[in-house]
Amino acid sequence: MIRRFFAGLVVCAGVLLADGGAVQFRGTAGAFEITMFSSPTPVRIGTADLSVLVKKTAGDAPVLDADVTLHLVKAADGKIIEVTAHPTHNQATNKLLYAANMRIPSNGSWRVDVLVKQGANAAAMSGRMFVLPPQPPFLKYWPYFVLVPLLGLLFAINQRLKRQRRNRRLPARR
Amino acid sequence: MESLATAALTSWTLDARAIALLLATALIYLRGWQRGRGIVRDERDWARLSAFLAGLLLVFLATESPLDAFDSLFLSAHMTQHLLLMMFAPPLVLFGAPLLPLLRGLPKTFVKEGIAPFLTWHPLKQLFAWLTSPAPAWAAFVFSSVFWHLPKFYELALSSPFWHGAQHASFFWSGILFWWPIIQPGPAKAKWPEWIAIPYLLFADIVNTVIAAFFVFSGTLLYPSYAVARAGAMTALEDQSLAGLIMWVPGSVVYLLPAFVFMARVVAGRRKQREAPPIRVKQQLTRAPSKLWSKAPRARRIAQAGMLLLAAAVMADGFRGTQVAPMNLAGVLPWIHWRALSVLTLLVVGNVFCMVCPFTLARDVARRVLPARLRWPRALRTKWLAAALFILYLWAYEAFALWDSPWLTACVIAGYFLAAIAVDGIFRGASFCKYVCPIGQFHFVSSLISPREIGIRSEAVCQSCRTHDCIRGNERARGCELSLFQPRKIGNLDCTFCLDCVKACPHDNVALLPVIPAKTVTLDGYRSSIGRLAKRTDLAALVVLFVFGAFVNAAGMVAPVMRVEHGWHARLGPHAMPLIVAAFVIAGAVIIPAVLVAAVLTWQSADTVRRFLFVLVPIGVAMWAAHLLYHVAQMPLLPDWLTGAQILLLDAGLLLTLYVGWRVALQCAERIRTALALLAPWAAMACLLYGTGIWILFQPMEMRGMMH
Repeated sequence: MIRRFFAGLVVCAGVLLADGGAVQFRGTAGAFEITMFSSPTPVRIGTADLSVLVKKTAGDAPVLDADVTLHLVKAADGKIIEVTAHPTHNQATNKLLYAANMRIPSNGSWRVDVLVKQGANAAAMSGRMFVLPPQPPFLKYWPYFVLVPLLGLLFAINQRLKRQRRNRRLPARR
Repeated sequence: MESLATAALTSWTLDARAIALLLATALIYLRGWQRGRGIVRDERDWARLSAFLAGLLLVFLATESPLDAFDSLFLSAHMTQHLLLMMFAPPLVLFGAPLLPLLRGLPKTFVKEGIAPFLTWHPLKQLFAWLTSPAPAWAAFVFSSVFWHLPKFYELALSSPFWHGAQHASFFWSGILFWWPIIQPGPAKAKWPEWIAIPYLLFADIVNTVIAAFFVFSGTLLYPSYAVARAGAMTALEDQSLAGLIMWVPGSVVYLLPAFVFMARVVAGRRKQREAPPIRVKQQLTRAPSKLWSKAPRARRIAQAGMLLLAAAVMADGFRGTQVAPMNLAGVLPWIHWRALSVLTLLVVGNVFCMVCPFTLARDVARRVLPARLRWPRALRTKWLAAALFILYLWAYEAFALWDSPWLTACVIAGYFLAAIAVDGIFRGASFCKYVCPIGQFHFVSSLISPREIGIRSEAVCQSCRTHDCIRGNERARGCELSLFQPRKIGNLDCTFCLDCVKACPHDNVALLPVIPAKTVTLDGYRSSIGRLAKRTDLAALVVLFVFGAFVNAAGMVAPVMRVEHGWHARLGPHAMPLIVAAFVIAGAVIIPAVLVAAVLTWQSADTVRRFLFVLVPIGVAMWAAHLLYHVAQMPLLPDWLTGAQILLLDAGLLLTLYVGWRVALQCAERIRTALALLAPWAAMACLLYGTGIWILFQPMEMRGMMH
């Protein structure tokens, strides 16, 4: 009974969890229900964490021993750009997911093909993912730049307070 | 993955920054707790320690465990996380009475000079007293609870990592404020009557109950992001109800339990039990010298022998192995790992590389047959030769792509051994280290901001010493080969950490001691064998090359600079690259700083300029460290934390440069305005270097000498 409850909770969690990313698309293909998540939100040019949840359509149980392939395709300036990765549990924070860090080279709408193989069962599903241009680095790292003026300001206050304290002591000694 | 249970239980976030912060806090507390027990012992010490560490552990579990991996799509997991952050971790942390241990755990000078002025600042004390009084603390806690559970703001936190972090921080800190009047962790005593705690807790529970009931009974999904929870054992609404129940039941227990305790106390008319008086512990004022030090020189020889073997292996692989740099020891060890490790040890300990230098071991062996009778020529007893060799290294590294040629790297190492043996085989002392070795100069300059130095434990012992074995030597060890007389030695300049003085001192008065990083840069007294920094143009020039060289070396591998270099290469012909690189290195490391310094010389004296040039060392070290971190951190893809860590290094370098500059300026001028005017050009130069460093970090880098 306890085992069943735990399995139910985990199954439920499997549906809900991602590595903090947003659901890009979800659908049923063959014997599997496939959900694809992406992080960061929104996805930008550069490194993105793409993760896939694979469940059996019958019984909602997550599939943990599948071989998953992610294939990203985009047509730009008459050329076809392709990026392929094999997501694994090891790369995922949530170990029910298959995740891969992928370098996405250009912005725009990408076609994402998810291929899943488990034993004799194989299925493929496609969806779209919109990628934005990269964030300007100064915006991305602004907290690191705030640190210097902030600590500078604190130091200035510190020096002023020390001077005030010194000045107060001097007349008292005189 | 073996099973669902394994998968769920191994889903840990484990963010390095958060873990480092928690560990640092725990270590500071532990250090302060231990120091506190050295002064006063209390029977509740262990309970306090346990409570504080348990509080930190709960923060860790809330933010790093599978709860965190679950929280973005699972409201009940998220609610458990919030409960830990607001209601469990803060009271435990406060039970640890953290203020005094945390202050005692920090370096004394930092507390005295940096924090104490704020702690005694009247407006801040008043603000703190007001914030930790019942009404504002209660309001802040309730406001935080209600505000973040409003759908608009909850959704904002779910969609943005930044606001998610802000939400968690707000929960934890409002929790600290809320529990402060209840636990009263001190050191100040509360001014309000004890019975106030009862309505304080009961009203907070009412608010909590209302929010929880809304989750359980509303019948509508409050947060649409959780709509994905439609399949499996629970629907999104069931999940929401579960979250409400988690908030309701354990939450209420946390409020009601202390409320009952206070009620019982008030009804019984009993005040807090009188605490057992603390026991004052006698402090041991003198420390016995560590026995470890007597063994350190031998350990150094063993480490040197290990490095010598490593150098031999690198040379053998460089000469005979594959010439693909990433697959050859000579392509990987010296240029990637050794450089980064040596800078890391300089920042954490001190000049460890010179301590374990394989070249000096080889020359010590060779000296058994070589005469070493001459004195180093007087005209060359400066840093000019070493500075020239340092710039030669900067040029050769780029011009001949040393990182990409194991054979050339092996030649350089072999040449280094020959040079060390030849110079020190002919001349007395450590002439090679002091006047020739560019690597040594790099470490000498960097170690100006190291947190450790070889120094004396007691001045009185040195004053009573008549033999001066630390410099003259004795039957146990030779004296300092770099002519550094310990009582008059300031800082790490020219110190190879060879430990000869440690071994030679018959009073066990010389040791590796902690020192405030960069403090010795602010001192302009006479330094043994060096003189005054303000009078040493050669040393100042070496510092300029070190600082600006850091930026030139890093800029040499970014795409825009390489594009320009290759453009000129195409125009000038196939053999022009060494010339182009020479022009780039000389322009960046010599001409630009020379122009800047010349501009400052128009209104500051040469002595002042020389002193201030040393204050640029921290920003230079920061750039070297940021650059070398890039090489070490390279994986198939660059890790997310890398750029942030690099910027933090530059931030620290800039701040330390400005701080040291300010100290020097105050020594040079009596009035604040004059000091600011003196500092202005150097602060501007440091900011310019910082800006250049940031620009370099944001450029696409060539992953040289790496496998892809």
